[in-house]
This record gives sequence, structure tokens and C-alpha cells, in this order.
Amino acid sequence: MSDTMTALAARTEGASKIYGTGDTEVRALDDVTVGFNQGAFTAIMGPSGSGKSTLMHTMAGLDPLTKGNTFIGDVELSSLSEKELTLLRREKVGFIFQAFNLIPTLSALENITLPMDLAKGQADDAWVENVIQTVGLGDRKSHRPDELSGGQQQRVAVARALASKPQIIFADEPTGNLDSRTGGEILDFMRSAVRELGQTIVMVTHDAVAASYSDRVVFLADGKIVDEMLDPTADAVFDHIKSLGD
Amino acid sequence: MLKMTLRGILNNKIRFFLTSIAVVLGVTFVVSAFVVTDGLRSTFGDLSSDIYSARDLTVMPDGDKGGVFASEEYLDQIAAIDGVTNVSGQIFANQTIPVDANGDVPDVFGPPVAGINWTGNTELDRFVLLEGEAPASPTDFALDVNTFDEGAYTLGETYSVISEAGGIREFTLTGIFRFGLETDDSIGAKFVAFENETAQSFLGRDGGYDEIAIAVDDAANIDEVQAQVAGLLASTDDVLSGEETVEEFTEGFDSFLGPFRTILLTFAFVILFVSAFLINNTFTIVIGQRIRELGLLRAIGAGGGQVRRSVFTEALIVGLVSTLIGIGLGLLGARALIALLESQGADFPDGPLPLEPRTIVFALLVGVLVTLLSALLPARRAASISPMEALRENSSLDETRTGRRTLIGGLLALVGIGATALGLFGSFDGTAPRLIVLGVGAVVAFIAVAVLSPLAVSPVVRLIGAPIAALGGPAGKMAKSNATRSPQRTAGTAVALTIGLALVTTVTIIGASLKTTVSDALSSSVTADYIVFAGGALPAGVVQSVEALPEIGKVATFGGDRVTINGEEESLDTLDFATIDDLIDADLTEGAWETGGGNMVLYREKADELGLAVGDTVGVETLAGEMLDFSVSGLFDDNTFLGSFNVDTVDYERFARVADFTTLVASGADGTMPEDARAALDSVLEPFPQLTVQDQAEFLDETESQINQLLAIVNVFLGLAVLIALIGIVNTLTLSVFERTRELGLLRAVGMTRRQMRRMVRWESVIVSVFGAVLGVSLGVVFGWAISDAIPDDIVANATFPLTQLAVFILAAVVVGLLAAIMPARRAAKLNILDAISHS
Ligand SMILES: Nc1ncnc2c1ncn2[C@@H]1O[C@H](COP(=O)(O)OP(=O)(O)OP(=O)(O)O)[C@@H](O)[C@H]1O
Ligand SMILES: [Mg+2]
Repeated sequence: MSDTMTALAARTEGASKIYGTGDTEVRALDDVTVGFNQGAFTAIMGPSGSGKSTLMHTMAGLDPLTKGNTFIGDVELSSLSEKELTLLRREKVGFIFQAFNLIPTLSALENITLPMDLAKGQADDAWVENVIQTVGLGDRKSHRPDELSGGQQQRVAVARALASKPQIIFADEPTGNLDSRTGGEILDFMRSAVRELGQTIVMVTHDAVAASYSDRVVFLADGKIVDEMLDPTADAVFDHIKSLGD
Repeated sequence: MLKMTLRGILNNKIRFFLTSIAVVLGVTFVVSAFVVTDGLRSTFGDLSSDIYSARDLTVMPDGDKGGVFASEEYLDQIAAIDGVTNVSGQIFANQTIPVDANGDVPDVFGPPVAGINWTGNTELDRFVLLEGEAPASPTDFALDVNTFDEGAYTLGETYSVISEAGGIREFTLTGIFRFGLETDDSIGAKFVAFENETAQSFLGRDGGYDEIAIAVDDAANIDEVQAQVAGLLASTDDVLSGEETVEEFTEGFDSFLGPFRTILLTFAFVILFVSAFLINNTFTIVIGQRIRELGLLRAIGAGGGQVRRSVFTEALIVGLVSTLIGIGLGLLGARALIALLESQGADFPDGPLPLEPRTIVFALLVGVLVTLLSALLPARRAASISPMEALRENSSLDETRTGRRTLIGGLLALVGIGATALGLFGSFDGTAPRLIVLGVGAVVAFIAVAVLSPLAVSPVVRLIGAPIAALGGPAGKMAKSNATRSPQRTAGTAVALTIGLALVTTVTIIGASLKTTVSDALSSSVTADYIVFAGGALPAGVVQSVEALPEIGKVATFGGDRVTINGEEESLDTLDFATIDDLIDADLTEGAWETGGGNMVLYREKADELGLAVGDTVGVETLAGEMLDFSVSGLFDDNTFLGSFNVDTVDYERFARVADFTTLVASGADGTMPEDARAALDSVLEPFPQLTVQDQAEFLDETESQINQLLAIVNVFLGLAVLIALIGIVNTLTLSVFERTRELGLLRAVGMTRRQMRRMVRWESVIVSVFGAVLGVSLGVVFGWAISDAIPDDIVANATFPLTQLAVFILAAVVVGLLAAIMPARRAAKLNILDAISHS
């Protein structure tokens, strides 16, 4: 077991992503080599435009790299076909976006089991039920997204990411649209998923408080990893951002 | 920023295109219909004034062809009149049929195939020799170039020609000619020319002519000449001026063109009506999608009126641009339509296709007005939503509340059904007002369907969607919920298919009922073994030859002419009273087929109408003006095969202008094998390829195939309505895919494969189209049943429901759905996930 604790759920090797050519060329990622431990909660921070979203998208197989490699477990993504990438996302990756996470025609429960339904696989009902209870959606299962509050919608999104027991969950500013109390509940829940269920989560955030829920913070600037911090506190992260800004 | 702007323009382009396409289609069809009929009319008008340009006066003998012919001596007397420069006596004998080397004959059921006399008077006759020699001896004949080209003929060879009066005779083909001085003006008519005296004898004109064409010196007083010509003639003959001749000729054409135009315009109207729903639906969706943009406008200070105006301006531009494109395409469509009709055997003169101002005005009215009306409701809604509402996420146009929808739809349905019922069962002065009431009823009923159908979406889609959700896996399930997402959109998309299929189903049911009725009636009323139809009259001698066959038992021949009975023009038929009862079971319930002449047997309903009973006397006025009395000797109940008034063949010559027969029925002699009787009959009729022997089964087949042909034409046009429905589905799906970009991106991100995505769009499309089809076929069944019931029982007795065909319609809808989904599904599957997720 201790082995898996230190194994990498996902990593990149010399990952570069260049948009455009010539004058309009943007190096969104510039030779990034980073790994995310299994069962760890990692936060990615950095100024706007520093490449945080790009890093997540390329690692999740939504966007190909210009140079370098990314891995989910042992699987190198650039060798996969479009269809294999889709299946990989369905089985090994969970997503939580800032907003518009849910399919409006599906109920909360259907949204949660969506990846399993798409795989025509049998959802682990007990596990799903457990997840739903933990995020506190027990009485909202059959509601449509437009009948849920923003916080509840994000909880459904988190539950969906967890329900298929993916190897890694990518969350891009999952609390960016929420007030701090609701956001705090979501973050609490994500942290307990990591601590108690051994889930691996990588989360992009601009918020020092949100970052303090994580085990490790990776700082990006201009497409490069510039620093990282273990067992962060809100104040330490805040100070660090300020120092980087200087 | 630039990318966004460009993308915005591109997106708008697609929207613009999708909205326009509906208007363009509707206008195209209306313009085509007008242009084709106008074109035919003007070409024909030009043609007839061309044909009669040299002719100043025409002498028409009293009665139609086959009546009294102008005699030779008139010609000389007319030629002697001062001012007359040219006179030509012309013969025009229908059903003069040449038989080519393969034994084939021209189609005798289409335009006339006429025998003429070759006078060489090109100025008045307009027959121009192209090759060979004009017929000069009694064994010569010449053919018009079309007949020559279409059949197997060689100059100098001998061929049979059949005429009504002269029977069958051999002639040598000496020449080929054209009707028309510079171009072919025959418009499908076929001509067989003989030397003058030969024509008179062989075509039964007995030294006379069918009409006399006269050219008058420009300097002469034409009225005076006309009076002098009239003075030479019997008072019942007519002398027509040049204008009157053209008028009479064109009138004949109008009576043919009138129904044709009505049919075309009816179809154009159906198509436009269907398009209107498509336009409305597209606008509703497009404005719904722009609601945020409009809300933003309102938020930065635009008033509701400004928003409404901006929507209207867009509609106006869409309407105008599309109408102009539609007019252009309509001109092309007219050519295509003519080509289509010609491929079906019609023959039209070549000529310019005129775009009358009336057509343009109508097209604009239709295109722009329909578009503006379609934009009316969505524009009002767009203007009435508050800025905050519009800027909210997931905001959409409120759908009309169920209660109000039910009320409005219910009222419309009542009016529609009421008017339709009135049209079907009410009593009217003529057919036109009945059809108008029926038409209005149908239109209102269909609008009611459009208003009410959103209410049916949820339950019907649940039904259709169940197997799809079960079979189609997650994609099927999502497709089902997408289809119910906006009932108004689903119903609005499907309504075109609903209307198209409702009409197709109605026509199909009436057709099927008609077939059953005919086949039931035939098997119960015709006991004869064989039926022989001639396109016109049976050639001389045929009847006698058939009667002489030992293999043939009873024979009855049918003929008739127009007469006046009780002040009404009626058709008086003759048949053989002695044998008829053994060949046709007309269900004679009173009296008898009394032979010996002077007796009449009537259809009971007609007798009741006239208050006649067995033993009464009926007065008949012949076309020659003679009065004849007949005594009613019997009444029958089944008029499937017989007309209302029947007299014995022995009385034929007393009232008819020409006593020839059009139909012969016969049965085999006792003890003769059917094959032998048939073979004998066939061998007697062999020299006359235009005559066909049919046994009961063949006759039924032929009748059915005629009904089928009619149905096929109707279905081709209604197929166009279904095509529009298909385009409508493509429209909605494309817009929906566009609208759901983000959501589709999310689905792909969490693991939906491209294939599942395509499948999802495809299933949604199938659900929408099958929904439309189920509704349409159900309505069609109700309409078809009601109309079949309303048609008098002697035409359609009972409604028949061809279940297989109805099932085929539903299957066809599945195909329509699959076809419609091809492009939108591809679009959805091709979405770039990242672009889609960041799409707003
Ligand atoms: N599709 C694209 N085409 C061109 N440039 C792009 C594209 N996507 C991202 N970029 C550029 O790449 C850089 C990194 O973008 P990215 O979205 O990863 O930043 P981010 O760190 O997530 O910023 P934010 O905190 O604002 O979300 C930016 O300069 C951005 O403009
Ligand atoms: Mg980002």
C-alpha cells in the first residue's frame, strides 16, 4: 500500500504547448515536468494566463501537447487515438469545471452516473449512494440542475467526478463562482475524498484559502513551474503570491 | 477579439442561411407554379394567334365533329365571293391510327391522333412537307415528323392505317411533314395525311370537310364577306371571325390548363403553408438563442420597441433576400417542373417562361409577409422579457402556457372541424364553394394541430422514445430527453411532416377505398368474360367479326350521344337489350330489358329524381333538334358499369349523329374453353393494335393502375412537402447543436465518444420525425375515413385502411429522421471539446 501512496497518478515530461506561430506565438506551457502523487490533493496557482488551465487540459487528454509527454498512470497520452482518449477520460479522469458542469436534461443522480452510463457499465450503487450522502445531496437526487443552487450544482459535479472512482480528478476553479462558505463546504468535501477515500485531485485556484485545503501547491508563471509549497496554509500561500508578484 | 467577432459573423451567417432556406423554398414553389402556367398560356396564346394568323374567317358546321360536314360545293361558292383570296376545306378525323413496322401505334389516350386531307394550301393549313412527296394517289399517305421519328417507319414502305369510318387499310408512306411554318406547333398532336378524296372517303367525310378556312383581302370589308359566307350556309352553321377562332381555340386550352393550374397552385400553397411553419419555428429558435444578446441590448438601455424593431428588421431582410433568391430559383424550378411533367408523358410547346408582375407581387407578399408574421410572436416575446431575465444563465423564451394553448387550439380545432364537416356534408351550389370551405377548414384544422401538438409531445415521445431508450443505450436515453426538452420546438419541427403525411395518408386511404369499391363493384356487376375498349370508336367491321366467331357466345356493344332530357344535357347510351342481362348484372329490380325499340331502362336514382316509373314516357331531344319518345321499361340499381339512360341499339341511329361503338363486352360460347375463346378474340382484333382485350382481372388491374398513377402524381408533389419537413428537421437540429455547444463539449469531456454523440443526435432526429409521422398518419386516417364516408357510395363505398402502407409511412419517417441527422450529427461530433467548453 505504501507503494501506491507514493506512485504517480499523472505526470508530464518536458511538456510544452505553443499556440499560434510567429508574432502571435504564445508559449502557454514551456517545458513543464511535474508529477501528481496518488492520493494527494494538489493545488495549482499562478497569475491569469500562466497556463494553469492548459496544463490541466493537456494532462486530461483534451488538448495535445506541442512537445513532451503526459501520462495518466503509465499510459502515455500522445500514443492514444481520439477514441482511446475518450474512453480514458470516461474511466480514469474526473472533471470539475468552474460552471456549466451539468447536463440540464438529466437529474442530479443521472448527471452523477453519466460517465458510467456512457460506458454502459454498471455503477457501483453502494459507492454512488455513499458519495451522494457524503456531499449531502440525498434529498436532491431527482432534481434537475435548474432546480439546484449553484453550490448544490458544484456538489453534483464533485459527486460525478468521484462516482466513477477515477485515477485522477482535475478541477478548474471549482469554487470560483461560489461564496466562501459554500466554497468551503465543497473544498472540505474534496479534501475528505482524498484523505478518506484515497482519491487524487488536482485543482486550479486563485484563492489562497482554497489552496490551503491542499497537500501541496504548485506555482506556475509564464508557462513554467516557478515554485512549490508543501502543507500550505492560507497565510503562507498569500505571502508567497505577494512575493512572486514583486 | 477578432476571432470572436469573426465567429459571431459566421454563426449569424449560418442562422441567416437556415432561416432563409425555408422562405426560399416556399417562394420557389409558388413562383414555379405561376411561371409554368403563365408560360404555357402565353405560348399557347401566341401559338394559336400564329396558327390562325392567315385565317380571317372559319366556317364551323353545326354540331361537333362527326356531325354534318360542309360540302364541296360551299367551297366553290365561297371562293367566288368578292374579297375572298383563299379557301381551304379541312378534315380533322380523330383516332386515325398508323401502325408501324413493329405493329406499334401512337398513344391513343393522349393528344389527338388525327387523319387530315393534304390540300397543299400551306397558307391556311400550315402543313409543310419536309421530306419525300405529298400523298397524291389513293394508296399514299404521309406522317408528321414526330410520329415518324417515334415509330418504326421507312419512306416508301407500306403500313396499315386504321380509321373509325374506313376500318383498316394499307397505304404507302410517301412523305414526312411538319405542322407549323417555321417551327413545330403540333404540341403533341399527331397527323396522318391522305390525298383529299381518299381522306374524304377513308375518314368518312363523304365528300365534305370538318371546317372551312377563309383568307380575305385586306382591302375588303370583312363583315360584308362574313355576312355573304353566312348567307350561303344553313342557319345552324357558324362563321367565326379570326379573333373568335383564336378565342375558341384558346378556350379549349384554358379548360385543360385551368385544373392544371389549380392543382399546381394547390400544391404550391400546401408547400408554402408547410414552409410557414418551418420559418416560424426557425425564427422562434433563433430569437430564443439571441435572447441574451437582446437582453444585453435592453440592459444597456434599448427599449422593448427597439428590440422588436431590430428583430423585425432582420426578418424583413431575411424575407426580402430570400424572396429574391426564391424568384430566381422559381424560374429554374419552372423548367425542372416542365421537364418532370414531360418525363411523365406530357408534351408542352417550347417558349419563354414569363415572370409576370403579378407573380412577383405574390411572391413578395408570400415571402416577406410570411416571414414577418412568423417573426411576430417571437419578436413580441423577445421584447417583453426583462433585461435581468435575459442575462440569466440558461434563460430561454417562455413557452406559451398549456391552458392558453389548449383554449386557442381547441377553438381553432372546432372551427376547422366545423368548416371541414360543412364542406364535406353541406349542400353547395357547385364544386368551387365546397372546395373553398373544405380548404379553409383544412387550413384552420392544421393550424389547430400546430397549436395543440406541443401538448402531445411529452406523452407521444415517451411512447416512441421507450424502445429507443432501451435499444439506443445512453445516447438513446439522452436523445429522448432532448426531444422533450422543448415541446414547442419539437412539435414545431415536426409539424411540417405532420401536415405532409396527413395529406399523403388521406389521399392514400381515399385511393385504397376507391380501388376496393371498384373491384367489389366490378366483380359483382360484370359477368362478361371480355371487355374491349377503343380509344374512340371501334373500327368498322370489328363488331361483326367478333359476333361471327363461333367461340364467342353473347356480345353487347355500347355507344351513345349527347341529348337533352327534361331540359338538362344528358348522355343517352345504347346497348344490346337482348344480351345485356347475360353480360352485365346491373341489378334490374323492376321491369325488363324490353327489346324491339322505343324502350328505355333507367338508373333508379335518376328515375326517382325525374319522377319516372315503369310505363312512363320520356321525351328526348336530339342534337339535331328532333323530339323522340321512349317508354320506360325497366329500372336498375347498380350503375357501376352503366350510365343513367339506356336505350336499345336498334334505336341508335334515331338520335345519334354517328352511330359508332366505343366498347364491346362478350362472353365465351357454351362449351368453349376460355383459352380458345380468348385466342379467337385476339386473332380477330390483332390488326387493330389500339384495341385491347381485357378479361375481368386485367380490366381491374388496369383500373387500379390508373388510380395508382393518380396517387403517384399526388404523392410526388406531397413528397416535396416531406422534403421541406426534412429540411426543417435539419434546421432545428443544427440550431440545437449550436445552442448546446457547451453541453456537448461537457459530454465529450466526461467520456462520450464521437460515435455516441452522433447516435444521440440521430436518435433525437428520429424521435422528432416519427412524432410528426405518428401525428400525421393518425390525422390522415381520420380525414381519409371522413372523406371516404362523405363521398357518395357508388364511388367510394367503404373506407379501406392500407395498413402496410401506413406502416411504410412511419418507416419512411425514420429514414427522413436519419437523413436529416447526418449533417447536424457530424457537426456535433466534430466539436472541438475545448472550444465548446469555453463557448458561451
Ligand atoms: N486556444 C488558444 N489559442 C491561443 N492562445 C491560447 C489558447 N488557449 C489559451 N491560450 C493562451 O495560453 C495562455 C495560457 O492560458 P490558460 O488558459 O492556460 O491560462 P490560465 O492560467 O488558466 O489563466 P486564468 O487564470 O485566467 O484561467 C494564455 O496566454 C492564453 O491566452
Ligand atoms: Mg484557466
